[in-house]
Amino acid sequence: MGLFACLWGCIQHPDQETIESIDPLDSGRVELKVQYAQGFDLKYQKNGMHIVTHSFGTNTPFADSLQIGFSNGNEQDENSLNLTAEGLRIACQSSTHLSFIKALNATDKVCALCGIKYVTDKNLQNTLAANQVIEICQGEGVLMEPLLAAEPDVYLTYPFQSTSENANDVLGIHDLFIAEYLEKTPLARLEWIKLFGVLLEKEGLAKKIFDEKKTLYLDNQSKAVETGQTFIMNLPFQDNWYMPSSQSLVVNLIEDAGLSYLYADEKGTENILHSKESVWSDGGVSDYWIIIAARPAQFSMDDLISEAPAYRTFAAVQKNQVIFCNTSQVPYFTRGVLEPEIMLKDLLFATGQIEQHDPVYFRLLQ
Amino acid sequence: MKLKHGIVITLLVSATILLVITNLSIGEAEIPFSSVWTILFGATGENPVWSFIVENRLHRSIAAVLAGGGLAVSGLILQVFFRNPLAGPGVLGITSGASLGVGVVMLGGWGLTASFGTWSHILAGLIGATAVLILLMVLSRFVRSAVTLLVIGLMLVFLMSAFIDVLYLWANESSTREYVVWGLGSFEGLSRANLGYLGAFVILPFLGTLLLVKPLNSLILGPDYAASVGTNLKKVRLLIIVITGVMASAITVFCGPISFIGIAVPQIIRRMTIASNYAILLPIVFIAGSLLGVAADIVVRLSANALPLNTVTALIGAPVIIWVIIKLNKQHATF
Repeated sequence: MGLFACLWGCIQHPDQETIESIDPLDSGRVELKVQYAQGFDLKYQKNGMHIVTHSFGTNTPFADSLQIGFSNGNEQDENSLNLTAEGLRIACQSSTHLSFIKALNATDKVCALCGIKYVTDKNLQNTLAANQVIEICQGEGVLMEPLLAAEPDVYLTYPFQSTSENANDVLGIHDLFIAEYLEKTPLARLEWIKLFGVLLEKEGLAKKIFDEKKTLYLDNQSKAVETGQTFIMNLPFQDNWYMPSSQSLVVNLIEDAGLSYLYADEKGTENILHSKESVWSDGGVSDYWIIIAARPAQFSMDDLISEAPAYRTFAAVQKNQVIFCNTSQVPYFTRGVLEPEIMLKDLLFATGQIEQHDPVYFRLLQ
Repeated sequence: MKLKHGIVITLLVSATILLVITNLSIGEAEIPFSSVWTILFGATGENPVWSFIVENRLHRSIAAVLAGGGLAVSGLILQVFFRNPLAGPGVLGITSGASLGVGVVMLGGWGLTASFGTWSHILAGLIGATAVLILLMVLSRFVRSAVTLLVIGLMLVFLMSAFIDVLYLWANESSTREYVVWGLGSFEGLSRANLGYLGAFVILPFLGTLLLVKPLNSLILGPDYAASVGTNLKKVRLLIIVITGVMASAITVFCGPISFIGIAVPQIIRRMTIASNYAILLPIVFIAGSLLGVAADIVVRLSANALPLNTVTALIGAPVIIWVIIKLNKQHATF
């Protein structure tokens, strides 16, 4: 025990990296403003900038921040992150983070990732392998030793297991809570690309991507006609049928396509739990049934009905208005986050509101 | 059959029927009892989906009856054979063997499900359960103490669990989730075809137990006595392997690894009936297992599925097992 106590007392942590950076406005970098997203703020300061991520609404409270310093001969904050270092190294807890980084052509900055084996994009797999990206997770748990071995400058993580409202950096690594999944609208979630743009010194590209996609999304949204047709969502898991909250991103996306959520009156930000029986009994009247689930490649209407013959009584099945997003075949949870304008167009096409479109994520189940 | 046994059987059958009717009548979808009744006899309800809902409730009730009864009978036979009141498909690792088999298919993948469908799960579960049973049979030759054999069974449970943990490393998220939920146990969602398979894999082996009545009666006084009265122990051992292995693995495949019913029910019935004739005990234990299965399913449904099936069976079964251990201790059993 004495030996352990001695060893424990002897461990010294190195100081955080010191700052040697630039003034963003002097370097031609674009100052970004947050328009839709509620979960993060970008605060420009004299000596750098402050990125704040936080909960909002009725979510479990949390907050985190990252000070990014700029060297102008002023006093530097020891907790700042030096963005000008040639080889900025990022560790990500989610492949969604990786999608944002990939969109900004900065995959080479990623040094560690959770769930490398779940990356389905072959090119991305090859890039990760070539860059010797380290796996940092076992199951859903993060392994500290591989994380430390990867020597990241910043660790992007979920606030799932946060035990305090204000996160503290651990083990000498700058961490930052990324909770883009809590946003309520597709554009708000997409806007998190600006945060990644700041981290990667690619504000201009981030702004360009966001502005282009926003324009396309709003253009598609303007084509939607509110017909009053209703929709329900997803599939049961044993006896439980989780419907997304009426305030959720996916429901807002579908409502932007002109449909009305059958459970719009149910309050709360969490998924709504219904029993299978109650959905069979009450939800079957819905005009559309939109399913986001993992199924085999050639999953058909017959396959759906074979899962539960009761589906034959559903109006959406009888009218051939089941819209399916097969997450085992399309990157809905990763690249899809960055392509809300395509998802909206898919939905408009599936509901017959536009013609001539090759659907990517959502298509009518045949 | 004594009058007392007749009364016990009548009471158990009546209670089981009553609980099945309750299970058919309750649920989130409010279907009038008269409609439930007419739908059961072929009429269509006011709402076309009601017939599917009633059918779903009927399927899960039948699954509960079959699985509860099958597990209880498996437990009874194993308790006699191993001369251990704590023996059962769960404790001896048989259920874990079946779980490992199913885990290999579900978590290991290799396209088995795509190629062979439900049969891949059944075969894998059967192989896993039978492998563990054979191993136990072999080990039982070298171990005299029944309690030691029980401890070996528990070690096999841990061993299977370790193999399953290794499989998790290769599994993707959806397979892992599917396997974890399956592991919580449920009588829900069996299709008509799967219910048919479950029925065949439980009822046929149960009928096979009728061949075991005489040997089981003789085994009460020990294997030496059984051999002296002409019981072919090798043949009995093989029959027990096949019967309990098939029943436990089929139930595990279709309903998940359900714990405690296999141990608790035989103990309760032994105390209730004071019967030693297995011609009476086997049907009584089957019905009592069915009763407990349906009761557990009703509790699960009344909790809006908040309580997993295994939690409910543990809440009922664990106190019974503690009680058995205390009684064993009083009889100077040693660990």
